[in-house]
Amino acid sequence: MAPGLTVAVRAGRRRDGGARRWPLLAPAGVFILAGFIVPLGVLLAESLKGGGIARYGELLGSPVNQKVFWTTLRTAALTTLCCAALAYPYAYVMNRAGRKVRLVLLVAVLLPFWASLLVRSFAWIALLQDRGLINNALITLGLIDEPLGLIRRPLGVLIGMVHVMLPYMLLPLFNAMTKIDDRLLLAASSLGATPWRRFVRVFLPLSLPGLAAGVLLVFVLSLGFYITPALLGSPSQAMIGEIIATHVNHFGTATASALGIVLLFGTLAVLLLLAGVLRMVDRRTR
Amino acid sequence: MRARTGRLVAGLAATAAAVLALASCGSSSSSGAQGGDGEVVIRVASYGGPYQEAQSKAFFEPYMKDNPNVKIVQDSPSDNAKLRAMVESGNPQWDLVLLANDFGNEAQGKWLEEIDYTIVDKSKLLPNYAGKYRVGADVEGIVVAYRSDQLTEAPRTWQDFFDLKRFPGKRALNKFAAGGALEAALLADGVPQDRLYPLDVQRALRKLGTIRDSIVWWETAAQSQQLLESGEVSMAMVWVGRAADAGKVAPVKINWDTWLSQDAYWMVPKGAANAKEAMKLIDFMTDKEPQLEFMKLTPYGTVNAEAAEDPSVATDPNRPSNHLDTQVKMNDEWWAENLERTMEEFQAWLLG
Amino acid sequence: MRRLSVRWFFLIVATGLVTAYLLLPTLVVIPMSFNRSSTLGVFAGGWTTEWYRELFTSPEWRSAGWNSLQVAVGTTVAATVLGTLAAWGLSRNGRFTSLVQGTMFAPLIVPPVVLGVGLYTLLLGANLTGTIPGLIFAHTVLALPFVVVAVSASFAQVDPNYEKAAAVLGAPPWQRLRRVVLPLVAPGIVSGALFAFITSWDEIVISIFLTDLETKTLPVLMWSQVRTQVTPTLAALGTCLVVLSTLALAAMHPLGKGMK
Repeated sequence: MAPGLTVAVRAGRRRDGGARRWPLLAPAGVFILAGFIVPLGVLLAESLKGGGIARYGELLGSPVNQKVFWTTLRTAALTTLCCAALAYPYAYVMNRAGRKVRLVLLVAVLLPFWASLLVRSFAWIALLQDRGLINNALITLGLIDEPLGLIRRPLGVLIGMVHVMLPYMLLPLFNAMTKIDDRLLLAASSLGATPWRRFVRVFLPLSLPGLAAGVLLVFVLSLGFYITPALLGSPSQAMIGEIIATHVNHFGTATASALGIVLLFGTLAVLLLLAGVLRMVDRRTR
Repeated sequence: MRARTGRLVAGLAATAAAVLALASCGSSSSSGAQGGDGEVVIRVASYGGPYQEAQSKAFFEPYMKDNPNVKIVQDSPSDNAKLRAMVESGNPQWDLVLLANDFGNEAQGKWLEEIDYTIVDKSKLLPNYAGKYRVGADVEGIVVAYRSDQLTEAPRTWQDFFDLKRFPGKRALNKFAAGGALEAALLADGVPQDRLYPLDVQRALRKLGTIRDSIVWWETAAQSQQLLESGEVSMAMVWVGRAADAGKVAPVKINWDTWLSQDAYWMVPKGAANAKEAMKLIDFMTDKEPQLEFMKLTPYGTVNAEAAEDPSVATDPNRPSNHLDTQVKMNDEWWAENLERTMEEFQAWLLG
Repeated sequence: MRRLSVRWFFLIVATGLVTAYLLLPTLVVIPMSFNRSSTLGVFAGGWTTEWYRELFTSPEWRSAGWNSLQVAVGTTVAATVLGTLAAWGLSRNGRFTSLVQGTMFAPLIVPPVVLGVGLYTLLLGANLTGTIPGLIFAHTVLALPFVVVAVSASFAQVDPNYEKAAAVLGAPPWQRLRRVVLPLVAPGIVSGALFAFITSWDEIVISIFLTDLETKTLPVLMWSQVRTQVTPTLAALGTCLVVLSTLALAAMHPLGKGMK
């Protein structure tokens, strides 16, 4: 969130300082407190019941859990990267296009939301499986002899997850791009900048808040997400959300809560780190 | 300035509250345990979908007709975690729950009422379906189903499932550790049925490892059915209901020489307000006539001994209760004690 | 500006591919909804409209749809209002910004199944399980972070001088909000509201805990179908929604002033 905050805001801190913001944050804060912190506190208590802090050590030390955490992190990072790579050009074209084209592109982004997640996941199975639509089409066209292994592999998981997460990356990015003043780009051109330079030096930095928002959203969502990976991947790509759900269903909440809390604090730590790095970069580019 | 901001926030909060109030007008109050004078309300939770509809037709509606002072309120889907949470909170919302055989064992006793067998008549039930905390609802099963169009010969034994040469193609197995894969592996490896438990998990995993690359793991009923119907696998260990449904649109057959038990049980949450009434309902549902009615609507087997002899049931080749002689009974008690440990081992193997 | 350069050629191809990628599963859902086979993902047995018939005549689906709508609208309103205020507050950089932000995002990180158990215990005590307000409460907690992220991103691009100028010129906070702040962050609010709606509309896990028969939402109904068997009524529903939303979006086109 740090990039994009102008110097003016920091200077203005003295004027409309912390005193004014708390009433604004209060209602949301109350919700989060009652609806999230309290249940989490209940869960924390539950997780400690099963053996105290020692249990956490056990969980973190177990190689199975470590592998799952690592897979989750890796999948989330890959998904985020792919989403960013696909969404940026798409948002750029949307931004520059005429009204009709823009509407069509927007509809394409929003439409998947309406077919629910479950239905979409089964649609992907229908498309990707060995006897699925894609393989059948390719075989009929004579392009391949053996079906491509698209499902029950990391590739299938990536395809499915990127599909689910893409809109969450696209919309903030697109919004950010609409805010970029064309005149700045015009000015850069008239000062002799090549299109490439204009893009890298003017457009890209100005679109960063949107990119940052999208990256944050997609990464965080991907960490806890497990339904599509479970349907499209193989067990060796299990994500932490699935493990937690299995625990809750069969053993009660002690271990599941502990794992959930580990996930939460781990992610927060990563986010704080990122925020710190971004702030450093921000300061250095001024 | 601060006062104005405060008023602004208050105004918005009031708006939000008004919206919530409006929304609550549309909702109905949560059903309580007591109806009007003398009326008894039994709150039942089952799996939902067509299965529960069949239960409604065969059990709940006739019961309400016979007992006009009883009202049966249905809920779905029944869920282990939800049951535990509600019992622990001291306010169970269900009087009667239908769950699978992984629940209701001695290990889960603290969340359930003991079945009162002075209310439920034990003698009419097939052996093994009257437990301390649960009563059998119907006989299901984990069967080996296969695509007759993909295999030149029909599988007969447990070894056939692991024989990729004679029976080429992929295999579908339940990803859940207690889903039958381990038992199947041990039986295929030559372990005699009476020496199956305690399970030698490592040996089972080694056997599974021999076909590892050909296994497609399923997690939901829908998935398992889809794998058979689409022909993605040539052999699958699936729940009998799914195999039967797949057989309606695809050349899927069931091998009844090798199958495992899988059942649904009725249980009463501990502290349920109408526990006695719930048990009376259980007694009704395990009677011969309602059981026969239920079987007209579903492919499952009956837990009632007399109903099992009835010609309409006995001649049906795909009724699980007609094949109890070849059934391998899963040891629910062993699983209840060892599930966590086994799942961890299984998980580690799956990931590795 | 839009000469057909090589750059643009690649951009258009890329966009076309991504569009196809986005639409493919959604389009596959349509034939699935007409197919006779009772499992999704298989095309066999011919075509039928019985799934649509079931969708429209079954009271279960209708009441679930109505419940989902109520909850989603309530959640969207609550989350958008609270989230916009919170994002406004967060945009004034003060101490603890990172901490507050982290707390706001936390509901997104914790797997819903864990949160579901906690919320269930909490709401059971307050007798709010199986009620629409209870569901709205829970969904709002989940939807808030989306709104905060989306609106914050918009705030990050707003020149705070606009707001300060208005303040200096004597405009009270309510006017400042309505006339200066809101129009500037409108795109973020719209995105946030959209995400909030979708989050509530699609929410399965926590809703399983918090619904009972009368307040069952669509995803919970669909989930119980998937667990026991699958009827392509799900696909029929998906298709209907897709058609409806396409029509709605197309209708907005002549009415809207365009996005820039």
